Amino acid sequence: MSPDLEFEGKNVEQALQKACEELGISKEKLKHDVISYGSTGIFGLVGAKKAKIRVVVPKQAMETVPPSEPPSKPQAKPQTELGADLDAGKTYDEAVDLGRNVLQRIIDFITTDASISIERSSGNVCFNITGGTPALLIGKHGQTLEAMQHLTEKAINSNIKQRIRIRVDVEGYLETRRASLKKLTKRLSEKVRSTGKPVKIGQMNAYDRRIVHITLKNDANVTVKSTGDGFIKKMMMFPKKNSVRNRKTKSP
Amino acid sequence: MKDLIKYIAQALVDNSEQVEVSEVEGNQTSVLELKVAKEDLGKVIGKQGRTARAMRTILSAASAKIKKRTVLEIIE
Repeated sequence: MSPDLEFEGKNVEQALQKACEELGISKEKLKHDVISYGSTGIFGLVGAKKAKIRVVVPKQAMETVPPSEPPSKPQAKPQTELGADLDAGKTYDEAVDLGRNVLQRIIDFITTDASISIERSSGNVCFNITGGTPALLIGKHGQTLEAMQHLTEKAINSNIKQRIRIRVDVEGYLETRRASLKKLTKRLSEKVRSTGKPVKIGQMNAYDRRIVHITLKNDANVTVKSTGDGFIKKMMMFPKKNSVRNRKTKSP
Repeated sequence: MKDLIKYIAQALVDNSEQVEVSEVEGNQTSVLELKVAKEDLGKVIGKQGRTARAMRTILSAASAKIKKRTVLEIIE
């Protein structure tokens, strides 16, 4: 059992304070050597070093300290991890039920005779709404659908540790929308490639724009940019420069 | 309509007993005033007002059924 103990902290002052708390003696009585002063690094992010001090433990404190220090750390960690896991597992079903209730409440105000079916896949819960008036539930540009999804997600994740991702769909709307957008994108990219002129795609929300961007991610001939501000933006599809040059050199 | 907003707001905040909704009814338009605890204000507004926007969207979809307009105001 060595009478010397080492303490770390952001700076020497903090390390000292930690040592005092641990040993239960005042700063003035503490004998210490500074091993390293530590540095905050660049913006406190890169290369941050902790300050280290070595404390000579006085005799009366020595008996109480050494046994309490080493086992406390490994014990504390698994306990908190286990607790978090248990908590999340317990509330997961409750959270999904809560989400279902919230969603059902919202739907009942918008339309009548609609029901929800729940589909669970890994890390993703899909609420599928059937019946009622789909047009009202989806809204202009899928606005109402997006709003319902956002509110349900917020309600579910407000009292849970682990985040649950959800999706709200009305009678396969998301899938059909995705397919038709992909088709439109392919057709327009073909047009841009052959004419060499930019094309506008109108009025899309974030989810729609994401689909277009993903579809054209590996396209060699065109690029897309979102223009305008607000939640619903337009997109412009441009020919890539090298492809225009190719076309021009080819045509004469 | 009032119940809907109250229910949604209570699902979002921590202090659900402090949620208050009052309705000022007009001929064509009615105004809903939502009051929550100060520390929950951010929760009902959301990042970039996203949650508030979602609530307004739901509200306008719901009030289309009764052929009326409803405006949501969040009061500090």
